[in-house]
Amino acid sequence: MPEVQRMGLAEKEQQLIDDLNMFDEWMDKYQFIIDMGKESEGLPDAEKTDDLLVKGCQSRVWLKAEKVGDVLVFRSDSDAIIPKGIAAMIARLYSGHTPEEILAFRPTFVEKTGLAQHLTPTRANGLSAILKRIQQYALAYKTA
Amino acid sequence: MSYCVDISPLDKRVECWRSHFPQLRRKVHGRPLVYLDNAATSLKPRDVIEAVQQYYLRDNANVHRANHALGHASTTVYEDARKAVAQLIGAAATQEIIFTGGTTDSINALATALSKSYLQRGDVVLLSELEHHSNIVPWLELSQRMGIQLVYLPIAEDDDRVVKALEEHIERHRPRLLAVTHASNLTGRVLPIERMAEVARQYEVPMMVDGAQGVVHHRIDVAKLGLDFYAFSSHKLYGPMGIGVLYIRKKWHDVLPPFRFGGGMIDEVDYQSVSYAQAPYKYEAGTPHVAGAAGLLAAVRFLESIHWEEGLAYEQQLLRVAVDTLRKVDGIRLLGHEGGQYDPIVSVYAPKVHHYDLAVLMDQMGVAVRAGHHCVQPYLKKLGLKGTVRISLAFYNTEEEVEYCADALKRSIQILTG
Repeated sequence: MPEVQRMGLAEKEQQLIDDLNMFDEWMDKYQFIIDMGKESEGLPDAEKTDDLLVKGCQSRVWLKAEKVGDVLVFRSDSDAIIPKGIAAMIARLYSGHTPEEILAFRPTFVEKTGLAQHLTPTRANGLSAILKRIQQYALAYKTA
Repeated sequence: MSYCVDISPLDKRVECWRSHFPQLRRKVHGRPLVYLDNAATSLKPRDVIEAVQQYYLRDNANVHRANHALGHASTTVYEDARKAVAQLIGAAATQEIIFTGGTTDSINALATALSKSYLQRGDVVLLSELEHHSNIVPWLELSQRMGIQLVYLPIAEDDDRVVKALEEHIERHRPRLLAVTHASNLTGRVLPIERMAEVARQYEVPMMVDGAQGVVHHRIDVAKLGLDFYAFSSHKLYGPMGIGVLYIRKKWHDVLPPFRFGGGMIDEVDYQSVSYAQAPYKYEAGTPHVAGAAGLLAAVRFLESIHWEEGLAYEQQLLRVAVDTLRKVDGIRLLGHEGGQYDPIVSVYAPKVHHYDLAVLMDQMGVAVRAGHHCVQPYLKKLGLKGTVRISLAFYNTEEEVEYCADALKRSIQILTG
């Protein structure tokens, strides 16, 4: 694996923060998230199994992890477009990194983009549930 | 005391009504709040907020058996609230009003009491298909615990058909209890309670009505209707959270045993025996929510002071505007509102858009609506839906707010499908 060519998680996160903070208006941030949701390929129906459901979301969110070589690749879907966008954003951030990298990384984008303050508590819970699920996958693949 | 009664035209009066609700002045996400989630809980008039505050500032002491001035003041407020509620819903006697924690608590209490003294294995409880979970789950628990059977009455758009279906269901299933909602929290559909009560009386089936929504939009007269039980919450009726009412018709006071035990509900206690007080006290163990009662009393007085009937008539007018305006929004459908009687609640869904996404964007535009299953999952499943966006109105809402909401809905759909 050519380490040098890969962008680190922190760098990718900063890019995500810059992308979101480019917008002053929250409606524009949502538009960005919605666009992410629309662009996301999602998961084929056959792969949307109950064991992939992230508990704690108001809408149904599926998150799937696969190991490709040393790194994990995340794919996600939701029956609602905003959670789909958020899940896709997070899946993109964490895809291509080893379980060890993911476990060592402490994300700050939720605070730095204002997502934490802006989402209602139930929605913020949904977001942290997705992040927690990522960690669980990383842990499972690390020990596997 | 009277508020806003001499003010005309109507829009000026609505403005005056609004001035009594401090929350209407706040902004969300930098925009003026458009609060259309009244079926979940109403906003509180200043009088209610002040009554709760005054209670703690001045009168706080425990009720009953207090031999001092504050205890007396506290008891007076509490019992005045009971009288005011009795008058509000047309109870024949004050002791028919039992204070509980809210509608859910009331129905739980009733189900428990009935399970101990009246319902037996195999008995049928007849509910409607439109019930909120709070009028399903307590009965489901009885069905699992003691084998009562639940039968659901279909609710057609046409009242005649509802009444006919009720007769048929009673003939066929011989229910021991009819427990139905006054009005649906999902669609706003008002059940023909008066005619249903008549049928129930003919067949001698006791009747419980879940008035969580209904009491907010109707002048009800439980004695005249001959209802056995009526349950509702204070917090949807402009009062504080944490207190509610279970009306128990007097003839049941000797049948229904207490459902909670402890202080305040006894006549005499020995180490090995107990005798209970008379209703309502035998149904109210422990220290009650007196501050809540003070607030509820203030809410009832507030409604009288604005001439509540005019607010109710205005709500219906606003509902017609809402239905007409929402019908014009492309890409959405309304649940019901096709002829039957409705309270000012409209549920909409967009076949191509998730209700969750709509509510998120509408919230960004300052519109508070509720998205989800609204605790009515069985009926939604019957319709093949996962959820709706629910717009629920109160007399302090305006036509401008309704139009703004419809516009926010339209813009949200465009953003999500564009």
